[in-house]
Amino acid sequence: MLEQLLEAVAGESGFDLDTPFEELADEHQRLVLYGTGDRELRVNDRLIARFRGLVPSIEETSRLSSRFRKRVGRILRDLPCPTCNGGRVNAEAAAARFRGRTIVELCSEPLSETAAFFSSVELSEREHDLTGEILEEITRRLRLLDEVGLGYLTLNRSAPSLSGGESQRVRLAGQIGSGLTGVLYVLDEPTVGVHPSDNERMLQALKDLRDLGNTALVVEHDEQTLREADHLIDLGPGSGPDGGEVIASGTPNQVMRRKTSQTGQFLAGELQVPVPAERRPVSGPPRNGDPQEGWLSIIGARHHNLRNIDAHFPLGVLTCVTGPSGSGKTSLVNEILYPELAYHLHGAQDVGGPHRRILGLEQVDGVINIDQNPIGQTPRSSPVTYTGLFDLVRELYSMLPEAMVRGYGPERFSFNKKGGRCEACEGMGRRLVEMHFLPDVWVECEECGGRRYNAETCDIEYRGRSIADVLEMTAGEALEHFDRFPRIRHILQTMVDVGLGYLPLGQPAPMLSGGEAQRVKLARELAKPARGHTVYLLDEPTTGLHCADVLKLLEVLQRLVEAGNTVIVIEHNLDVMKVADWIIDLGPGGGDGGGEIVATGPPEDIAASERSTTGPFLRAALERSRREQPQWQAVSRPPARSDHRAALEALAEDTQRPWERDGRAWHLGPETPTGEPRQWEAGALETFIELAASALGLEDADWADRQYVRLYRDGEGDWVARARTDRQWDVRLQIRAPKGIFEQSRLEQALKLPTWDEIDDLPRYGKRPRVRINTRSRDYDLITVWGFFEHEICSQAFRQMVERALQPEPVAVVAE
Amino acid sequence: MSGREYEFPPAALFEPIAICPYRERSVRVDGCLGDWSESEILPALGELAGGEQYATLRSAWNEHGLFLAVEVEKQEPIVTNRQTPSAGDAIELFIDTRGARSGHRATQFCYHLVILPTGPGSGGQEPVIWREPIRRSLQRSPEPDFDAIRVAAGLGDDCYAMELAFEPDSLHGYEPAEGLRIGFAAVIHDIQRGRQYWGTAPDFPYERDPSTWSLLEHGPPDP
Ligand SMILES: Nc1ncnc2c1ncn2[C@@H]1O[C@H](COP(=O)(O)OP(=O)(O)O)[C@@H](O)[C@H]1O
Ligand SMILES: [Mg+2]
Ligand SMILES: [Zn+2]
Ligand SMILES: [Zn+2]
Repeated sequence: MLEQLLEAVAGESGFDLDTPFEELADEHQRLVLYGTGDRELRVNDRLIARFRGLVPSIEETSRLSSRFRKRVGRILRDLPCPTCNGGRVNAEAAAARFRGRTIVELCSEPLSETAAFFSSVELSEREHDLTGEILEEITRRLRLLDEVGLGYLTLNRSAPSLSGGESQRVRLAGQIGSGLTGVLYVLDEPTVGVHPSDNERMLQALKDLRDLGNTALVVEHDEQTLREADHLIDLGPGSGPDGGEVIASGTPNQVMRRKTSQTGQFLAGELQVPVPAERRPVSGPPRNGDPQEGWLSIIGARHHNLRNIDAHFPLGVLTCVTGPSGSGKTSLVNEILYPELAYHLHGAQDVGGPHRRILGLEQVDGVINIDQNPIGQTPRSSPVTYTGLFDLVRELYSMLPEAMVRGYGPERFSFNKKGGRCEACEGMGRRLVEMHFLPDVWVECEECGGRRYNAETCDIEYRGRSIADVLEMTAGEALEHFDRFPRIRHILQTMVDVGLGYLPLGQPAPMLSGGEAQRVKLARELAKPARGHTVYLLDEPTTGLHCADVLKLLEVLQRLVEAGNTVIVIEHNLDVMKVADWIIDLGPGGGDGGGEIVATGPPEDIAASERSTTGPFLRAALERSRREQPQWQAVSRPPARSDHRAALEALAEDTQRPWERDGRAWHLGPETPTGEPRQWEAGALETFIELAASALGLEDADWADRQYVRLYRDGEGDWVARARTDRQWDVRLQIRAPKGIFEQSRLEQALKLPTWDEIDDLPRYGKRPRVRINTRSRDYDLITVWGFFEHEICSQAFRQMVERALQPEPVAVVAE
Repeated sequence: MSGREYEFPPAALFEPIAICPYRERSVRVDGCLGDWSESEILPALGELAGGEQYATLRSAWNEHGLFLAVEVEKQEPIVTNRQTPSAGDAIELFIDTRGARSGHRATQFCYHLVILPTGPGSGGQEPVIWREPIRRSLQRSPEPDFDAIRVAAGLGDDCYAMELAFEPDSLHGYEPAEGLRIGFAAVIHDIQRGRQYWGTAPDFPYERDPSTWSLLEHGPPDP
């Protein structure tokens, strides 16, 4: 249909669908993009259509619903406007110059340079009268932006392209500029993505705010910020259910003296991330762009501000990429290295930013980017599903005696399938309410109260907790709860190891922070069988982590390295830098002031570097730190599948499935396995089995299956007769008869079974005969009868059919 | 389950106008599709929406009204659910008797009808039809004249068929005439096979926005 419609568009306008877009005539390109307007095309004699064109239909659909807006967002790219080349102003405005510079030029250079330009301007008296105040204001505001560490940004950067930390600091600069007093400012982790060298300026900005007569309340993990605060409030002692109390409150010195405060102990230097006494050895980096064993090299990187640099990453160690904001870390690692590895190793679509060559690929088997993007968009996705934990837990619940007695399989415990879930919310626990002009909102399902399951499913408990309770447990609680199951424990342990012990297992994906999503991904990777020769990339994994959790995270990263992998992290956190085996420091500044490799080597080399902005901070951190040789372990292997089975079977030891325990009761009982009342007559099934068993000379049938009752010739081999009993409105009886002895219309006449339509009072409909012969098999004819009433099966004709069909097999006579 | 995943719905690229042919003799509304002709099958616009295509729609008109037929292949027995029609076999029709396609809000000419092939009637065999309110309507349409709407279902073992006849004025503002264009879309529900769409697409807010429905043009009487 789509082809027909497109053909009509092309045919009517006189172009060919096989012509690439770039080669189409202008008018045809315009038509593809902007449509045929009100003109109606005749597609065929039964269909007319207007073609909207790509641009209007994308605009139109993204107005229709927020779901489309998101989906369409994925296929749209922002490009500079062709008329103004992205300058945003028309030709007259763009031509106006101040001291030789246009507004477009001034807005497209790093604002630290713009600021320098304006402060260097000297004005004549007349000029001063005209523009003096404006110029002062411009200079002042630019200086404020520079002071909060944003000097590398250009003034024309669009707001959505700024990171959370950057936009927070832009607003901060605006606030300081406003000169308001008596205001309470609340900031959440303003140091995220900020290099230690910019930190000081940012802190100064906060102090300026305070000195103007305001209050600044900052949620922060950054050590320097904590030290310089006037007052600290430490919450804890642990996370999740183990937290929620004020542990210490006072000046940093007072908090340091509080032994129960982890934060205090860190500030006092009692608790600290020790520096390894010996780092992993790294051979000297390659020179002049030759490939070298043990190194992965990007040659001639020119993306964004990178200045045609060669970056060499040592394999099999922990490498940290550092540098001030805007120095080019993301451009190098996430926009060249990752896409190139993914392209070459996994056949991904995107290619990396501009660079000449990449060397050393043959030494790497795979690449995993553990980014901060959400693990899913709907509440169906959560840590428990994403890590693969839920499959194991559902299996466990299906092996519980009560579940087995009721015949619940693992699918019964899925909130994505009908059966066990709450149907009102289709297992989401929440419902999406579309709001006019506003983003859609999720509200809790009133039917299940957010539990996602129906009441029967919640009846099944393991150690007093239902499957719905499991979703509300934190990873730490679950670790205790499931301690008998090695594979479950293994995944939960990795979650705890990455600092997610406090996280509820069923927390919906959209409600995870970027840092949490990143650590959930990390946990999933860690729980997998070790692969070795894999490159793991992480951008600021310590975001949102307390010092104690940073320690845990580092432990985990080291384990990955011990298992033979390469870990590359972009970090501003000095605790991570100082334990790295190798550092690549970009800089010296941000934007055009960066894009070079300033120093590279073990942390001690960076600390000694004259040019590196990172150096002095690292030197201080190294001096403060204890040295000790840690005992890293390689990531532990997942426990064997067989151990897990054994644990599950121990659970189910003496419990038999209901059909194993008493097959007759299961198949003839008043309800189908899905809980609907069984409508067909039990006598119909019993009679059929009796007839077939006696024709085969057997005592009884095999009743020990969930769906079928089967009979075998001589009690073995393939079944020759069976009944399917799990449907509400019919019991399906089948016999494999020798070929050619029955004929459809004769059998219909003999059995005289009315069609469903001819039986009154049954909500089962159909005009087709209820006995059918399928002759497609080479070896037998399959007779199927849709049974319902006992008396139909008791008829003389039915008995004869069964006996003829199941008569002893004729002995084959082998010709001499 | 919306069937095939697409980045951008092809249905959004076109505003289709399907021809509803004129027929001399009215359709007998009895659930048997014997008196329909091949040329009355509506173009397979469902393909633009993705998903499995298991239902066929037919339409025709004359001075006595608009006739519709939906034929649905079935693998499992028919089940219906009056409370949640989408949890069983059901057909939803969206009709705008003025077919303006301009506004995003429903007017007094817009209808959302739900039809179940079987229902609670005598012996559970009679099909059921009712109208659902349309959210955010500018004006609510008058109650349909259900005496002037005939519905019949034919239930087979591996299919069912629905026939409908809308007499003039059964829906507010409906006066069949050559060249008349009405807004029209249909959604067929089957729990095993997912939804099949005609004239609209999943994720379009078709339940409230008549501009997401297609058009049905009343064709000329044969010369
Ligand atoms: N999408 C973009 N368009 C233009 N310039 C960009 C874009 N993203 C980043 N830049 C610029 O490239 C430089 C390096 O940025 P980035 O690699 O993000 O640095 P880092 O990760 O070290 O903070 C900066 O000057 C930044 O402003
Ligand atoms: Mg960055
Ligand atoms: Zn422009
Ligand atoms: Zn619910």
